Order: sequence, then C-alpha cells, then structure tokens
Amino acid sequence: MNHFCQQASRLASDRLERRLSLKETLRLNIHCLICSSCRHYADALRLLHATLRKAHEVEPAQELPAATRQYIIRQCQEQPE
Amino acid sequence: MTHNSNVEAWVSAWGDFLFRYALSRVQDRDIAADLVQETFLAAWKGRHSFKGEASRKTWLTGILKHKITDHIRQQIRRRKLEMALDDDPVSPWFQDDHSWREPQQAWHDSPDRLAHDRDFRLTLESCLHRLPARQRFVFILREINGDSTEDVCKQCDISTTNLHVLMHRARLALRHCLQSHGFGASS
Repeated sequence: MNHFCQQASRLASDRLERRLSLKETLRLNIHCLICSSCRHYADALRLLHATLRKAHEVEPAQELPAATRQYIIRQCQEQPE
Repeated sequence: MTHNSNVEAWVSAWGDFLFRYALSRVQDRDIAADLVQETFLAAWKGRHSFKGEASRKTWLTGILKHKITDHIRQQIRRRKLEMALDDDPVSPWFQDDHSWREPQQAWHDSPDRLAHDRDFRLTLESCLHRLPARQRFVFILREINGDSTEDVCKQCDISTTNLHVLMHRARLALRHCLQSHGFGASS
C-alpha cells in the first residue's frame, strides 16, 4: 500500500484547499489507517494549518516606519496642485 | 493647504493598516514600506479621480493590492531560473515506488502554543525563505493570510491546479524543514 503515499500526501494537502470527492476521502482515510507515516503527515499539515491562522491573528502590531511616513508626506506636499 | 494637512491625515489614519497588510504578504519590512510609499504617492496623484464610491480605506487597499501583485509577479519573473527547481517533482521526499524516503513522525503540539512560540516563528520564517519564489508567495497568501484561491491565482497568474501543486510542494518542504529543526521530530 506504500506506493499510495505520494498520492496520499497530495490529497492531505488538497483537503485543505478544496472539497475532496467521496472516493478521494475514502482512499486517503483508509490509507492513513494502515500507514503511520501518512497519518502523521496529514495530522502535521492540519496542525500547521491551524497554527498559521492563529499566528497571523496574534502577530504583534507593526507600524509604518517613521522615515517612510515623513517621506510620503514630504513627497505629496511637494507635488503641484 | 487643506491638501497638505490631508496627506498627513491619510498617513496617520491608514499608514499602519496598509503597512501590516503589505508586510503580511511580502514578509519583508523594507519592501512593505516601499509598497506603502508607492501606494500613497499614486493615490495622492490620483486623489481627484477618487469618486467616493468605496471608502477611502478600500480605495487605498485596492491600489496597494495592485502594487503587491506587480511586486510578486516581478519577483517570480526575476527568479525564472528557480522555476526549474520549482517544477521539480516531489522526488526529494519520495522513492521511485512512491513511498516516503524517510518515515514521517508524529507531531504532538497545539496551535495555540506554537503560534506564541518565538522559536517556532523564527524557524518558520527561515523555512519559508528557503522555498522557491512562487511556492513561497502562494503559500504565504493562501495559508498565512487566508486569501481565496481565486485571489491567489489572479495575483500569481496561475491556474487552480497549479496552486494545489505549489501548496502541496510547499507543505512537503516546510514539514521537512520544521522537522529538521526539531518541530515534530520525535513523539
């Protein structure tokens, strides 16, 4: 069954991108029952997915650098009406 | 004179917002600042054409989005050479019979803990930087920013199938990179 690992890894990724067909879901789930590598990989992708969304939310607030701010204001003010 | 005070009001009202928007997509402070700068300059030049149909914030964000798209496409074009690697199938991870080269290990952790873990964030950043340009941009837009498939395809000028392939390759490479730095390396 290991020859299905490459395809299973693709399905595990696709599952986060689109709705899998019933057949694809079954193939992936059944394969993961018997293949620990693919099960661990699929779980890792889900963990990574959830973590990245979370990390994006808790990202520290960044401010536009003061030099850029001043440059923009100066440039705009110098523009003719 | 009113215009002069307006530009300051614009920058103070939307500067940080636009900077964060750009930064989360290009992941580089200098580039993000440049893009925001170009956005304000372009918006200021075209301020008389602003019809007020959308909010000023939406209008500015729209301009910035175009600038980001231009930047991404330029980067991808400039790194055409990388595409040979980019297009390389998943051979580093699988053997000829399509089985894993190395067994995958279980990764026991929680998204909450990881999201606040500084080491994880730094490692993730360095792993992201190792991805080929297209894979990196697609992954950042889609997985980190949660942009829609349609939006990402448009921004990177690729088909939906391309997007799925690039996400798949990026995930394989990232999982491997994170594991080699001790994230999920042992149960």
